[in-house]
Amino acid sequence: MESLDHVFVEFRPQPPQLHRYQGETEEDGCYGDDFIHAHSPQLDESLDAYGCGYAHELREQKEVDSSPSSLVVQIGYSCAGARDFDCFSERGMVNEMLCDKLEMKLSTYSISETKSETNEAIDGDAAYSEIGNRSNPAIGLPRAQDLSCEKIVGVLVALPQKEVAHSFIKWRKENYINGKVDLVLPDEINEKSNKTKIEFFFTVGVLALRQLYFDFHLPAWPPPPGPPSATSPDVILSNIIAAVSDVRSRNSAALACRKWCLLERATRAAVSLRGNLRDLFTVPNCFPSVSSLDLSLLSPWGHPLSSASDPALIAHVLRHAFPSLSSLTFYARNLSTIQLVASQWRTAEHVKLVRWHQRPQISPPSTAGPTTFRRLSRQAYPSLALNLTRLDIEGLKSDEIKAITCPNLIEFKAARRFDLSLPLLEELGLDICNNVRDSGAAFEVLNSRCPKLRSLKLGFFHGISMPIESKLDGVALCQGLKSLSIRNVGDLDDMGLIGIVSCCSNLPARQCLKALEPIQDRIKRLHIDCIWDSAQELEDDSDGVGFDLNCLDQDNGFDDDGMSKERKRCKYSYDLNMELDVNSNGYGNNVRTWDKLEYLSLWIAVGQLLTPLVEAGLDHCPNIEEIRIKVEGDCREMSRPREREFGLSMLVNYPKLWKMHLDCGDTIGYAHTAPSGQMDLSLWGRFYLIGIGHLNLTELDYWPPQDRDVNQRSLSLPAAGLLQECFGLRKLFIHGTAHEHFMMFLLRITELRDVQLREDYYPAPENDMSTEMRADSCSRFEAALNRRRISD
Amino acid sequence: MGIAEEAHNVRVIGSGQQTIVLAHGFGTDQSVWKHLVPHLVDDYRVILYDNMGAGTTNPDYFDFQRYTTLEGYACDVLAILDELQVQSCIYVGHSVSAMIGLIASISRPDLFSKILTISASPRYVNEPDYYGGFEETELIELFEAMKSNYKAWCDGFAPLCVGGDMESVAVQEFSRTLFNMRPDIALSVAQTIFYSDVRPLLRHVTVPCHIIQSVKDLAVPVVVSEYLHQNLRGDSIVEVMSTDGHLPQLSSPEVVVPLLLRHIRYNIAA
Repeated sequence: MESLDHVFVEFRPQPPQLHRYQGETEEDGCYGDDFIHAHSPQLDESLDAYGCGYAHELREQKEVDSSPSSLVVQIGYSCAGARDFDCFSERGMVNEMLCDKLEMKLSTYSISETKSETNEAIDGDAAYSEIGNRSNPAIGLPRAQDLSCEKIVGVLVALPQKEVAHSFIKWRKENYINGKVDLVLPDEINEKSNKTKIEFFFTVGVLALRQLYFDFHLPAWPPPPGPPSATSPDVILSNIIAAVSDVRSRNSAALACRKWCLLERATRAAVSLRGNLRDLFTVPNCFPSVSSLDLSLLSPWGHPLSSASDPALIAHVLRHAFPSLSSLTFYARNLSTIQLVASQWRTAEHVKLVRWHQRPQISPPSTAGPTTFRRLSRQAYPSLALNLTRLDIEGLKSDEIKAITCPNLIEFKAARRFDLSLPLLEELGLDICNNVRDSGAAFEVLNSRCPKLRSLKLGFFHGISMPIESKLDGVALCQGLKSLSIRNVGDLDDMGLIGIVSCCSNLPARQCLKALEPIQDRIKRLHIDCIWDSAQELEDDSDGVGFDLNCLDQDNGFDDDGMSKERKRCKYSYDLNMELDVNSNGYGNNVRTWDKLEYLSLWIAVGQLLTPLVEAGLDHCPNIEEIRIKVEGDCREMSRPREREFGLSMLVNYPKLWKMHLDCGDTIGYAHTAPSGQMDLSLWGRFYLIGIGHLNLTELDYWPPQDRDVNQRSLSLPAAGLLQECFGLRKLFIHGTAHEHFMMFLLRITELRDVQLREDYYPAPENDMSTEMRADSCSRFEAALNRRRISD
Repeated sequence: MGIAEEAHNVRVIGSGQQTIVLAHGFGTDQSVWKHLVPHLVDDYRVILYDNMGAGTTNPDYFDFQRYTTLEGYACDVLAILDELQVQSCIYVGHSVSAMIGLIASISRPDLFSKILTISASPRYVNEPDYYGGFEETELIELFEAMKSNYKAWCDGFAPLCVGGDMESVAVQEFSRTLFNMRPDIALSVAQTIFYSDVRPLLRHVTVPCHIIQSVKDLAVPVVVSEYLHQNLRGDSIVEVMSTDGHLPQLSSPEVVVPLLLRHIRYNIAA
């Protein structure tokens, strides 16, 4: 095997008549019926173990499995010396989220790294079951540094039944974009051996045709000394399957054939159970390898394990179903649950207690950053001073600097201290045509010394904004500025710019977007505060300055050190893959689109409309898939808005939008008795949701507005009525409560699979009495939801 | 658990010699008592339940025939007390449940040691010699809104007309809670409430009554509490609170809770 250029491995003893593909066009493809039937009786058994209402995603596969499906899987690969193992999956034709462009890199193949990388790659989507993966410790692929060969190339093709193939070809023609899919015959492997992809098709029934890509570069031959099994196709396949993190993809893989099912079960390390607490006794026992079990998302949401009718029995059943358990996650608000778990899982190594109602993080005092450092640097630590070789201080007066005695000091930096106060200075231009490094601290002092400073123009200053995580510094803290002009700054990176922009709390959205024009075709994720201020137009800057961010005045208090007492959290985030070149003049082009933009996050004050968004510049965003809208404010102080609707309908301009978070959780209003002339929360709910039915959403997270006085966040009648118009919705999480009959409205959504009421906010409802949805109501709704036929 | 208990989501909490029944009004559920309950559980056995048709109950149990009169609800209360083998209770009724309690006490006065009524009204519609707060035309508006809501709901469209949209402020105040129900149930309930007239029954009520009322309640004018006081056969006392709104126990618990506790603990002086 050492001279292997390519290998073709057949997973079936009798390969199908692959040559039938040759010479056939996609339109008139004709495939025989003599493909091997890969229906797995064992798989049926294992799937039968799922009780009703259990694990939605698995149930879908069960439905699929009832139709005759066959699959022939072949793997072909040739070897070369690539170093990384990348795999990512994309959404399949059923417009289902497999995972959010899951990317993972397994640079080496040790178990621990495989696991940690995979876990890292898992999106924080708690909605679907999360899994972790585990490699078989007995096997392992060659380490990258042992290799010196050329690239490995492989193609794995699943050949479906006649009708499946037709469907696939039709789908490919209609849906596939990049042309990356190649049906490659064994004979063609030679010719295609310089390809760099291995492609999988999990074809399980016509409608559930899904695909997974594995772009991977396997380590090359010859393998290093090690277990001989390390390079067998089974091992590779096992590793591949172990690397698949998306649950639905794993389920698809398990349906491919018996061997795949076994490999999938053997490598599934983590399971998150959904479904109703009262159905837990039907939990499947086909996952013997699962070591990590998450019970925190069971229905009814937020009910502890101990509230089951027979908690001890449930615990026993679970222990039987998951014998290898070492890690357990569950919801707990009282002692009885913990006692139950403690008595049943004595061997558990990791136990995670989930209490969903997290108290909001109290932001650290604004003086914790530079001031603390300053205080520290002023401390006299004689022994420390003796050993110092580098000292970087700021904020000391010249006589204090003189007092520093560090005999071993090699490098000494001291920021310029503005001893002289200019309290009336409003406009300052500093362009000394000479590089000034580490100037950030100086601008903080400038801010304290010149409280009226409104306009600042800088040239050749570096280090003006170097935030560390959320701790802002430098010019970002000059909060009185209305105008800031920066040129020839050498080290302003994305985070620095984000730091500056995030402090501009009243930066109008239009001008923000205008400022981003030079890089807008590179941005993938964008947050913008929807502050509509049409009066302030951005002045065109023709002298080559890349950014001119106009900030409005903000009357914040300043403490003695000139730090603002209020420090805004970092609101702006951009995809950091993009490069930022502030010296380039990006205003030349007329038509710019947000081609790369996939995720848009919006903050908007209560009562404000969404409609100016297009006008502000987010007009052409062909690839936005996900949007998060945060509405914040107190509508108790507001009169009825002039417009009837918030303006969700305008989002139809984003054709690929399928996922939305609509968070009105921090919108405060009257749940019951609104004074005359004001709207109660049901009307506000209606205001925000009108038009949502026009969007082709697949997933929605909705936080109803709240009445803090009564700690109520309830889905209102109009909200329920409007949500029921989202016909394509599959997944709906309501972060609040709802009456049973409002929930029943949702049954009109034929595609709906997964609904949960999550009271994951603080403070939690005190007890069962304060929730609108009783456990029985929840169960009746779930039963009605699960009774429905599922089309795919 | 008995049928009535289960259907009404009955909860019994706390312990004590005396039993207190907390009955919520329309459009809410037992959670409306959340501020009061913690003050009671140490000294009393507290019974909480959801009225039939409340959002927390199974809508399939809502019998449109049975609940065309308040007597249907009164029978429910008696059934719950019967299942829980309550010998005697202090009944705290809000809004329409206050009237339900009064009706129930007529047939079984032995079960009620006293009744606290909050924002209660025996008749909502104005008449020549009676001021209930609502004009006939306003009710027509309310019913029309209900009907269009109901029709939209039947046709599969979103029910969009809710209480706050209507012109009459009094109707807004009342319908705010009414629209919290399934449209068909809400329509039935609205008709039951506004066509009901408990005034003739008041003179049969012998149980002592504590009539508690917001000074500003758009659904129930203050004069109504005086009317109750004048027409109840048994002893009664009126206390008008400085609160605003039809749900004072939710909107102003700091005023209402101490006041309710006082009325629960102390009886009307002889």
